[in-house]
Amino acid sequence: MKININDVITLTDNRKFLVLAETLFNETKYYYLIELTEDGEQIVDHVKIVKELKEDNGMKLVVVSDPNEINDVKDDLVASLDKNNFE
Amino acid sequence: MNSYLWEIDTLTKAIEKYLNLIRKLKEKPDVNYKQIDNIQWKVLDLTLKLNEKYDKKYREELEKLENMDMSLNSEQDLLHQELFKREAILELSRKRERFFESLFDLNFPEEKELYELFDDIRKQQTYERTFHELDFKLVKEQIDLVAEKRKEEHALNEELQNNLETIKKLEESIMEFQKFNAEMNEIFERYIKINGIYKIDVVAAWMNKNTAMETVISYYEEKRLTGNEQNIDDAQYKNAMRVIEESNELLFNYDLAQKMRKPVNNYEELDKKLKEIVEMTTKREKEVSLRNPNMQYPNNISRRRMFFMNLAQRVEKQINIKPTIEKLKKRNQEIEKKLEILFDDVKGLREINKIITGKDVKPKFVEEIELEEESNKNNDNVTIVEEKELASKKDEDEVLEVKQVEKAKPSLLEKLKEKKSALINFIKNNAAAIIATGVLVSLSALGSISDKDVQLDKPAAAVVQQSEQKNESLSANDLLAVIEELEQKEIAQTIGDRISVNNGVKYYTNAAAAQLDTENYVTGRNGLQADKYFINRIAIMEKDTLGKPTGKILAVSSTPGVSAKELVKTLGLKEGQYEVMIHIGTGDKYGNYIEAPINAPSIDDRCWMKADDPGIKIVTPALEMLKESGKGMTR
Repeated sequence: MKININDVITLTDNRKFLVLAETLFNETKYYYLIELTEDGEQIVDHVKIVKELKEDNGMKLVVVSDPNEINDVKDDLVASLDKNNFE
Repeated sequence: MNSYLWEIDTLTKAIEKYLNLIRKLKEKPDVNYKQIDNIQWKVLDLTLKLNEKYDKKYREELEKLENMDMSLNSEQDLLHQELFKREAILELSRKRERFFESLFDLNFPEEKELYELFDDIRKQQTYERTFHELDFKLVKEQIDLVAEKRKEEHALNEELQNNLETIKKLEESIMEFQKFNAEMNEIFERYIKINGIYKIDVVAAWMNKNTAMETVISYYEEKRLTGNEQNIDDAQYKNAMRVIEESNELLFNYDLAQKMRKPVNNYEELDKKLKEIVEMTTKREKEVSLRNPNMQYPNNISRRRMFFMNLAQRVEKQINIKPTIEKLKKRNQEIEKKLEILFDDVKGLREINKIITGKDVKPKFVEEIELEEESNKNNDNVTIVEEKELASKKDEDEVLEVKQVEKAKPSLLEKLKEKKSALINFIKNNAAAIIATGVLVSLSALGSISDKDVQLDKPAAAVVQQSEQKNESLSANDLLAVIEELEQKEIAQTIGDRISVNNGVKYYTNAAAAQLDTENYVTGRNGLQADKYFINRIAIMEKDTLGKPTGKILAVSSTPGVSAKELVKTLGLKEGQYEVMIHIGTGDKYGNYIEAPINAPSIDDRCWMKADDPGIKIVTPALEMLKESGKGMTR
């Protein structure tokens, strides 16, 4: 399962997020997400920065809560989002 | 300071000159007492001035000594420095006290008169000197006390160390009884073998002894009857006595071997056995020595006693090891306690200064230590807080398990185009501060996306405050909407609620099975799939007095808009007396709600579930659904 910019991610608890931006830092992928309604039609205005953890039987996204880690990836995510024309 | 010295010197010289003048005037044949009296007054005046100057000089020097730099870094060094200081102060006060004495020659009445005029001042100076002397003694006493305590400390530490070493050695020498007893048995067997005890024919020994005894008895009988010693065979008698003695030794050794081979189960029994053996050998030794007064020592019999005594001591030593260790440990505890309070009687510099000056001033090195401790404590606190924060953050780290990834619809992307700049600004300015808390941040709540008056450059706290102020101005309608929203977050239990059912939610064929959790099926694993459904029936189930489910239906309703709360109210039930089960339906083919008929199956019927299953969430409350469908039911 590969995640790209402008993909809609559906979680096992049925929550949905749209991928706004992505970056690679220390061989780990980071994403800037915005939450959607369950039907995926509306924006909920909740944002998260997450990092990808690959596992044997699937993939997990972990919410980044370390401010230093966020600072490390913030600028690259901004640059990525800037390039995103939502097309 | 220099000016004082000059003035003191000048005044002293002036006084000396006047005093000399008085002496010369007195030597003249006709003494002019008026003139002498005038000079005396002058001397008095000058002496008062001198005293004033001297006092100033004294106070200055005293202050200098009191404020002596004590930058040494141990209590002991400081005490020695303090002693030096107190000695210098004492010397200073003594010098001042002696000053007036050296100024006047008491052999001259005029000078004695003057001297006596300064009696009060001198008394005051003596009083001050006495105080300084006491201060000096106090410090010296402490130093002497410390020296004495150090000796005691050294002795205690030495004893403590020796005890520890002894304990270690004793612990190493502790032997398990079985092992020790096996060694003992080996020694006993070796003794039996070496001394040939195993070969002893006890019956033969008895018989030989009896025969010899008879010979001896006959010898004495014959001697008594005949009274003629010439006819008696002495050689036969002596041989019989030897045989008796040899038999006795053989029989003793036989008994000894029996004793040695007696089985024992612990150190106490072994100790008892060996003590009995020692007693046997001692008794035997006494018997032999009585019969042979000229016996030489050491001999085989005395060596035998010593051998067993040594073995008995080894056993005793093993028995005593544990109590000895306990005793030593107890003593060490006492020593440690003594060491802890050993220097409590000694006054430290701070206490000394408090006694002398009445002020509680911390020595510099104490302040430094306290500062360092405080700093370490603070650092520790910081570490603890940081660790706690990290730990809590770690706990809060939310894991999102991805089920599906798909391309976003163009309509959705179109909506995001409008918010792009706000999203960029948001992550630029607020990400680290707000997202790092691990809390989901509502962009609109922060006023950072759609509102035109967004101030993204403001710090997060200011933005939050702004948001809070905004919340304060909510209208009554807004509040009702919030309440409605909160109500919707409660358990789905109103007929007509549109709900989402997640995989893993258990479902049942009837309400009773649902309450009792029997014959259950699982969404996603059995027939039912995770999807959106409608609640089309509600059942209120009974719970007994202990709060256990009974499987009894108290009420069932399929009326749209009726909530479980209303039913419960009608039944007069209280919290804990009931449980709510819901029945779900798919609605019609367009996804609209269908009212279930009474006492008949509905076309969209699915199954029963527990209303409070965490996998069930309200998507659209019945209120909205029913308004749209025109049913107009009220809750």
